[in-house]
Amino acid sequence: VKSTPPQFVANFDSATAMARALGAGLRREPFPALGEPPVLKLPVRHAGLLPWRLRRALYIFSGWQESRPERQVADMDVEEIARWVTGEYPDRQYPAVAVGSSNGAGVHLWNLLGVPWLPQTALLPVRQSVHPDEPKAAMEMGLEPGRTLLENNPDITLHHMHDANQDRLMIRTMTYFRVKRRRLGAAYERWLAEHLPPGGTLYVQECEQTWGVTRLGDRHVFQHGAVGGATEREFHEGSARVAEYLERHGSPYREWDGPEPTERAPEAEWGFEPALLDDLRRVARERRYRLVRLRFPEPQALSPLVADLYRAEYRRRGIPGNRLVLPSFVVMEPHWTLKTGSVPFWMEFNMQPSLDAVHAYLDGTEPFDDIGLMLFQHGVEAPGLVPAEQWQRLLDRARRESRWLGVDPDEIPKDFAQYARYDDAMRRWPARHPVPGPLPLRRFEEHCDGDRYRVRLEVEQTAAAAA
Amino acid sequence: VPPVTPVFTRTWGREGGGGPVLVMVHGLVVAGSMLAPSAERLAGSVRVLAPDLPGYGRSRESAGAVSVPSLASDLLEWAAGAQVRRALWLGVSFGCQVLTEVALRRPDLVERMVLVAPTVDPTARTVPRILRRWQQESSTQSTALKRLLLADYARAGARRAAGTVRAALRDRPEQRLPHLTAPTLVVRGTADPITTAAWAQEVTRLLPRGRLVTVPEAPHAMTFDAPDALADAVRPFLDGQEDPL
Repeated sequence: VKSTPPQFVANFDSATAMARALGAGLRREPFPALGEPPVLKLPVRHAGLLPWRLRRALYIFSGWQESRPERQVADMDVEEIARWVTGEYPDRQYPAVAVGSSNGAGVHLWNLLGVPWLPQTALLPVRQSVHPDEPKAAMEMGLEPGRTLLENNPDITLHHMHDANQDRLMIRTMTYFRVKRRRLGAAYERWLAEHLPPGGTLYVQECEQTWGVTRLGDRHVFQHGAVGGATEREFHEGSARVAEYLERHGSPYREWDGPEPTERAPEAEWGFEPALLDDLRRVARERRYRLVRLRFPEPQALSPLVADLYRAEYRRRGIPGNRLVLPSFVVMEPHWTLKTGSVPFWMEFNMQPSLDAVHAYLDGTEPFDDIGLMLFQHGVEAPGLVPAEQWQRLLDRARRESRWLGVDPDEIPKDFAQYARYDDAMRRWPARHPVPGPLPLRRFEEHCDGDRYRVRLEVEQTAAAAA
Repeated sequence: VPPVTPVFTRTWGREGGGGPVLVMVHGLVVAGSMLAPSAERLAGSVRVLAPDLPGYGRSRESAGAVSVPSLASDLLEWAAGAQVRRALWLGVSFGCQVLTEVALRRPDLVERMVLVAPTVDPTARTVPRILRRWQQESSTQSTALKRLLLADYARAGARRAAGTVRAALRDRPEQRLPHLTAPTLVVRGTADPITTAAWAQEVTRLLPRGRLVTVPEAPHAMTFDAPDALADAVRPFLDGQEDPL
């Protein structure tokens, strides 16, 4: 029986959903409804019948009920998250464990290798209402609860994140607190000791994406904007399309007047906080682990490497490997990806940079016979959103067949029914292959050799040197 | 009722001085009292410290689930507080599981170590099997030991006892043994139904610097029920007169 994350962690958080997706994959189970109870699939599937205003209200409400009132911040203990996460993975011994950044390509990679991943980041939304286009007010409102959270959790860094573009519907009722571990903590460390024997490998998943932030304290920063549609510069300085977007949403503003960034910091959602490395080095030394760092400059940089690794391994097993599936943000089906012999290329969101990344990948690789698209739906026509025609042009690059995997192209980006459909859509696409046993780590590490990818694999400590 | 301290530690031998320290790590649920007869005999050239791990014996305060890694963390924390730097260590039964975890993480703290009747044999890692071996073992126990067992089980409570059994069964000491570099003496009594001869040999074989000594007629709980024979078997090793390998 699956447990649920602590109440103060958002179910719609990327790290939470990805840990659940990988847990399902390692248990060789499907990942329906983004990890939510499958009974919700029925009403959600028919959400499209509702008028848009009601659909939007339901979306906002479902997010809002995931947030916690401010008075509960004092009780939030990030160790509870670690205890829940480790419970998602089968209770057995592993040859390797990954720790670090959240990454959808990583979920598919670790699922192929049969390796659990311990997220560094989590989203703890706090119920506060603020006008989405007033980032300074949002920052000020988050100060006090942020300090309370930090006082009670000495081993974390807090990134208060405010993205009026992609998270427009959510942030009007809640403050996004993203926390990153600076130390492994007792729960993760104990779980490692019990599940990763000496001589095992500790992979550090390190996304080096940064963002300009305003420092609010020793371990406390405010991040205005986020990776996705609008650029960092557009958040800080505005642009014609930002002005147009704000006008279209009836905002009294035409640009965002955010606080002045004081420095760069790991990006709140995807970036790796390197303070954790010291603790990982200690644990690797104490327990005779190989410590292997996997470093990449931005979230999607890992996607081509993982896609190619899948394709190469399918071919080794005599499977064509000519079906490409495009998971998007947290919409993914790791188990059915393997079962249908599909090559996953993970997209960070549903915005222009994701479309560009897939095109660039296809430009440099052998064509695929089939292409299937999953597409996260966040309900806002925001700068950088890709219209359906452009996705269709991408799908048209398939030599044989293309499919929208549970998405209704006419409803983008408001087709919330997608969340109830993507898994069935995967399952209904014929092609079945046995799910292979874990891929030997060596094959993955050999695959990283050379400079084909924007990914650096660095063996920092061998098990022998640790001894 | 004596006051409950976070970690209750029994000591034998002279205070202070720069002589060697021997730390004894107790077994499953039964805490330091069971080590006393052996500690008395070994204290002399060494000073003996026997902490009751948090949650056991007279150290009743403990939070969270029981596991070998967390008990090792507790023991390391205690060692830091007790100013134990490099020492001789002796683990008994389940205490060997905790001790080998300590030795893995902090080889600098371990000069040499003794594993007395180490557990749990991989062929016995299910509840029914371990219960059967315990049942066989109980016939080797003295009445005094049984009384002690009852008292310490009552102190720890059924929950903690069950949790400790689970922790012992899920732990895999054989994965750590090849990484332990300290000279190690493995001790087994021939009347011990829990630690079989085959398992004691396997433990010794896996250790890079291990040696096995067998004590005739000694039971599993030999620290209590065969303290003279045990002391005679380990004293030369602790004194550094014998080096394995």
